Amino acid sequence: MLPLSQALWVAAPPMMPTSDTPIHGSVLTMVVAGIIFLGLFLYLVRLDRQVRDLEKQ
Amino acid sequence: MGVSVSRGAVAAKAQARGVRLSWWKLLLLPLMLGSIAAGFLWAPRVGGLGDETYVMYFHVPMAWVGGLAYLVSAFYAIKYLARRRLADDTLSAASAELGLLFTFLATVTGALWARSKWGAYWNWDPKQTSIFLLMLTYGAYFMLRSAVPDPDRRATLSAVYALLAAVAVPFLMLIIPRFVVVSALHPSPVVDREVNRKIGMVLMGSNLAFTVLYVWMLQLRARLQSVAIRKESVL
Repeated sequence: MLPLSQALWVAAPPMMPTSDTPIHGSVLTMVVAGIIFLGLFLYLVRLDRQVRDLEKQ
Repeated sequence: MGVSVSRGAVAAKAQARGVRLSWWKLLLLPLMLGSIAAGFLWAPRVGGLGDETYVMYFHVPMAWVGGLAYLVSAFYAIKYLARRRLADDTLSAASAELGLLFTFLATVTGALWARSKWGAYWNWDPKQTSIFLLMLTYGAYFMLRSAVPDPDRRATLSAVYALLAAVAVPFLMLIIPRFVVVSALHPSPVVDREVNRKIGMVLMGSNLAFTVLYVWMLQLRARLQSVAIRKESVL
């Protein structure tokens, strides 16, 4: 079984024009950043709905 | 009693599910995810920075939103002084809170970058020193707010302080580190002409995404505060 970093390397090959170093660590960072942001977005949506409920009461 | 409360909560949740988000809040999703993906996969890395280029797509927008939030805080401080409405004071304080939060996050991301490029998290570089002074300035703003119990007096004093503090913002964030202290470790601003057009586009997208995030957070904070004030007046 491939380690996660190698699996991501396969899933997202290097696309940077000036890059001459392996990209898989960067892709992993990108995925983590995306997941953190998605979590923040969903939290804000939930908070928005809760505040709307409070405003209606 | 417990059953009726839980039924009420379920009904409120069901009602809330039907409520749609405003278009500009939904815009945050493609903007932020697009900026992250474009920053990592599309834009080239800056020659002297290497992998540390990626920090820039978070660090710069956080610093931008921090500065913007302080100026918005001053704008609502002026509005409060002109109209004497506590809602303006609430928005001024909420914006200053977010400014402090984003300035802190910009400092943390900058420190991580500094550890990688300069060998230490903190180097007392002019930009680091000036951002530290800015955080102290707004830390004092919240100390002032917590020290005055009367809402009207607190709002007036805070508004005057927010105005004075906002005067220091462009000096501490831009003028002193860039034009007064010419010898510094911090790289030149990325809006310089030689910076790749792709990098500039990703930075603009990321700045816009963080600005939308800030406006949403500010709106939530203000709405929560107004609900709290309404409930207090009912009680």
